[in-house]
Amino acid sequence: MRWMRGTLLIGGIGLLAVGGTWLAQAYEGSPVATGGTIVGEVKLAGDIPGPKKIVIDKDVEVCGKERLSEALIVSKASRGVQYAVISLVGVKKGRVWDKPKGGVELVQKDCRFMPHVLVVPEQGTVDIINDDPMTHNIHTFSIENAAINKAQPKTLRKISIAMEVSETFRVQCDIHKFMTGWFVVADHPYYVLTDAEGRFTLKDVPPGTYKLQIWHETLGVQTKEVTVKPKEETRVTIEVKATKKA
Amino acid sequence: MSTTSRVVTANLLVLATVAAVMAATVAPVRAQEAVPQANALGPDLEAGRVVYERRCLNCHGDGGRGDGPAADRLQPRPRDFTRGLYKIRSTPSGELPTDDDLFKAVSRGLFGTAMPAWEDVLTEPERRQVVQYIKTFSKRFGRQKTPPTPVAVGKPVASSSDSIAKGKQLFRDLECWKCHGEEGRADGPSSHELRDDWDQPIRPANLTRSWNFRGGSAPEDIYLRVITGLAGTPMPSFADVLDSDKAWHLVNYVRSLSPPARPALRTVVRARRITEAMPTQPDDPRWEEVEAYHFPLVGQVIREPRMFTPTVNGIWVKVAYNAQEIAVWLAWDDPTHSRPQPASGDVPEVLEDAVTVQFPVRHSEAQGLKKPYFLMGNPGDPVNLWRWSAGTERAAGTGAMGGVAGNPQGRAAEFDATAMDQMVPSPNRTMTATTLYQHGQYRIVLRRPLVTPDAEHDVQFGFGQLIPIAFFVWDGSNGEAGSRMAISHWYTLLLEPPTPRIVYVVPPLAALIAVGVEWWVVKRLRRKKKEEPS
Repeated sequence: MRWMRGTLLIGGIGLLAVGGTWLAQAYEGSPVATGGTIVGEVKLAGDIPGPKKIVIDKDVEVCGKERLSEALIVSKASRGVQYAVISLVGVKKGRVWDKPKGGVELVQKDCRFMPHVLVVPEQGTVDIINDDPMTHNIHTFSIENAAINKAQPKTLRKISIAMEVSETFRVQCDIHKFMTGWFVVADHPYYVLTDAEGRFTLKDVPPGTYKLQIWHETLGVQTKEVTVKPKEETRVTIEVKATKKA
Repeated sequence: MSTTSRVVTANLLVLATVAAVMAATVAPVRAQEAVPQANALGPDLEAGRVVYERRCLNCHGDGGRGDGPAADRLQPRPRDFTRGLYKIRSTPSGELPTDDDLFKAVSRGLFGTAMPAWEDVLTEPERRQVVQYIKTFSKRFGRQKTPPTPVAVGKPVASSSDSIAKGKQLFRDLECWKCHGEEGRADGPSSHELRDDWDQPIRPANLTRSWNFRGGSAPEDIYLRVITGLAGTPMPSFADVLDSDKAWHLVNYVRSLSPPARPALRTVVRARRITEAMPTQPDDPRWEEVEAYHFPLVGQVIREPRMFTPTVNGIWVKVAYNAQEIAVWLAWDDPTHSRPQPASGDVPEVLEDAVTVQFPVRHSEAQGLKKPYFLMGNPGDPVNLWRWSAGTERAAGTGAMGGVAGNPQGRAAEFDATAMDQMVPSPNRTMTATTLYQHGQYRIVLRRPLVTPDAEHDVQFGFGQLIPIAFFVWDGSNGEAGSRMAISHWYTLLLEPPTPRIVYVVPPLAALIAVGVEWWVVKRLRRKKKEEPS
């Protein structure tokens, strides 16, 4: 009765998903008077891999002949990991969410997505700009949000796409395979990207104990418990291991 | 039993999961007990499930993940229904297909793939039921608030040279050629590294073979593919770029790249007699006067190692001859010109592209219809193989290979064989090849004298004989070599005998005699009538 199990499993998952959506509460923001700050660093444990070189064999006059991969950028000096996304898991209440007024811009220039990792609020919009003198295609690999694939020739400067629910997914140009980026759709304001030295700051966090999540496209996901005290600065250092893939 | 009764009475959300876990790990739940009570599927869905399990599961898998037992042998792989991504839709990029889109795909099948047309096998209600069941595999369908709306198809623009020219310009400007190739043969610079959303390699459509377009080759089908894109693939939507008229120009251009209909299969190749010198170059304009025949090719799956997913699925053939020579013109689409290269670092070994024309060494009407085994002969019934390959032969132990005469690229060689692994180079080197590789297409002319002194090893061509002919093609970049290849059936080659002089004498003579006799009969009848008294 294998089908039976399958059916029940699917039914169960379906119901859970529907139930989950009903139960999900939207984020509520209000001024946080006694908030603390989380200041931290994401560091790579073990050997620091050299930056991976990508050889480009098409449209080199625009894209360049080679470039360094952005899939894992580690600072030699500090071991800090760039483009990690730090977030507090499941926060429903906190500071006022200062959402961008219009869309968040993702620019395609010299066959790159800039920024490489884009944080955008849910129910928000991404304005995708093509500044290159040729066609790119915007292909998103989302599961929860609509997965789109749209052509963007040089004559179509802007395409706007709506982000429904919180999810992290890849965006790619299939014409230029080396062009990849990431969308992080946030469900609250406590999402932040690490800088070139792997540093990050989360401000106005209501006091309490949180699960801090670290996501990185190559290094994967890991979590750490953090306690925030009123008006204090909490320092965290997160050591992540390089997977074989990296 | 107790498991199932609890499912009914208690909270569905929690217990469906519990039941699923328990069903999977502990108790086998019986179908007839569980289904009506748990009310998991309505009667239509239940009927759809029955159809699915009978007809679809073998490829699409029991969880709809496109991983059925047959999936690994299919290229493209069967659809994974769990993501709700469907190539053939009438809805905008990012939206789910309509029920009608899915119904149409089930009914017509997907051309150029293993997905057959079910309209002759399943009733319309059955097809509608299975569509509803397929939708249960993806939670996206359950989440949608309103049914998706098809895109508007603008008023068609009739095809004309003006519209085709505009479409061609759009094809350039929008950079469709970067994947589909400058002449549409799927050989563009970005075509070789494309992957679908499941990270499987995928090829752009070859626009010169419209009968393989997955969603059909009617103007409106192509219009919808351009406007909606193919979800889960690198083919994007051009809805934000093209207005209706421009889209139709592009459709008209794409349609102009293919023959108006799938080439009919004709089994007898009639060779054209040429009185002057033979056209030796593949692009000699005189070849345009020679009739082309198209033969489908399929993967060799009879002998190990097998090839289930060959690149080349058809070959064009023209044959010409004069008093001394025969020339076989071949053309097939291969998006890569692969020459052998050993593996180095991350780059895997590249095998060579090749083609072979197969004839029986001995053929005569006295043998009746008996032919050697179509896969390179059998003991006592050898075949003569005319092979061209893009690089040097690497096969060990076969000794010296054929000459390179006349073809700067690749090698021409003749073999005799009595089985796929029983190939020996022919002692004679009488065949030459000239080749051209351009815009994703090979064109080759293989030439040989009609008759050679060695009838033991070489096929001999006589006029008016029905000579079996077959074709094999290898795409080196697709890992094709040896028995991993694309093959054809035996077909028949006929060199029609030159018209003898008597043909020009006998019919006029016969006509003259007939007229004479008639004149005599008429005259006699009239005289007879005159003589009779009235």
